[in-house]
Amino acid sequence: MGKLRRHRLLMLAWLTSFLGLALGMLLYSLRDNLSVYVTPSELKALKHVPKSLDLGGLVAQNSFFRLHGVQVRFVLTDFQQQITVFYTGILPALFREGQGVIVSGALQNNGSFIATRVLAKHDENYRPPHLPNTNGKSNKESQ
Amino acid sequence: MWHRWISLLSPKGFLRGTKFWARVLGVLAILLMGYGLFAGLFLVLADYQQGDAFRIIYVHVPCAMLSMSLYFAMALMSFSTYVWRLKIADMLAANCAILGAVFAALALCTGAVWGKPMWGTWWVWDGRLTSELVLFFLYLGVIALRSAIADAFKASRACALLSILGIVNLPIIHFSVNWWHTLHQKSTLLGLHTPTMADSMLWPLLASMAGFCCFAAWWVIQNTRADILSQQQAIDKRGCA
Amino acid sequence: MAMVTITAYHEYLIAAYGLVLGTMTVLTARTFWRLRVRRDLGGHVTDHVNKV
Repeated sequence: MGKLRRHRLLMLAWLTSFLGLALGMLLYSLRDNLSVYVTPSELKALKHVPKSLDLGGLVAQNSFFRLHGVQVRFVLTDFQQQITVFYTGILPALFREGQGVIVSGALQNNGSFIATRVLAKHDENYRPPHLPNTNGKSNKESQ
Repeated sequence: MWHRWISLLSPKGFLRGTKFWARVLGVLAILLMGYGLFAGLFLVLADYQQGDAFRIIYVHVPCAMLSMSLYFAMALMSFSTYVWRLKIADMLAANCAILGAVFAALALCTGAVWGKPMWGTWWVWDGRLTSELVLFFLYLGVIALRSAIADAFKASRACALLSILGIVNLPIIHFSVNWWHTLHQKSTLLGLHTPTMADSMLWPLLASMAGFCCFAAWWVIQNTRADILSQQQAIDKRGCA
Repeated sequence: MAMVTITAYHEYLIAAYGLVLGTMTVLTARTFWRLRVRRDLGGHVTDHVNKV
């Protein structure tokens, strides 16, 4: 390999690794801000709670109630902490108890959460309805 | 043996050597995509959770995969352009950029069409979606850079450099679903306990992905052939005049 | 394997499949259109310079 080619190769290797390192450090420092949501436990641990935020967790079993019309109430849990959520609006097709959801809205002074948007998460498992789950993982996994 | 491969590196040899294989790739693409997409739409049972909406996976995943593997191919070709100044590698890289941009856009659009009924939104600024959007803009950047520089030699070097540096985005896209809380689910095919998909659903998906790969290879090869031919035409015209 | 009937989300499926297959059709057509110069050249290709 000629001297010129080796020089080009080395320069490329240096540039790419420097850029990778710089980007890696940037992403590491931003890791909390890049997440779409916080979990109820993370929210309780926050010192400064922002005015509006996204909260992610599972809809607790037997916690879903229709108050009247499209106004609903349910409990969001991450199995350690839980928060009662109120929402008025249409729910996505995947919304059900045990499902992972992300709610956007504001924490109230009484500790409940008023959501203006509800998004449903789904997991990476796909199977026909009659087949048992052979993936060795819970379907409710969504965290 | 080696001689045949090395002859592909010259435009003339490329034109001769790829004629047959491009046709094979084209036929394979039609067969594999035909089976994969037909089975995905009409043979596979609906998903236990998402119902019929999950059938979008048979076009969404191949597009997303190709947007990333075309970038990798483009970076490899750019590397050869940068270090060895191979003209054929530069032409292949230019075509990879165009097709990659198209598939990145298709991955974003089909993802939105899937996200609306299932998640409840067309778009969310999460790690996976945002890094895929960055990939789309990287492709556009490479295409724009090439057309912005009139000198072909300078343009190929600048594009090669940008393509190689942009490769750091690929691991970010792949691992984004593990590094951050995202609305996008984790990897089905390349995750930890994989594949997390019933076999009857998996085979059409793999066929569809293989078919899309053949299509991409066919498209890049044929358009590179077309580039060589139109350059030849330009040379001939200059010769006549 | 028997054919199944799709019961829901027709419009989303048509949008996704239509978008992808439509785009690929356009890409294919453009490729063949670009390759038409092949006929004008009649298969003759001179040696190009191999380097950029």
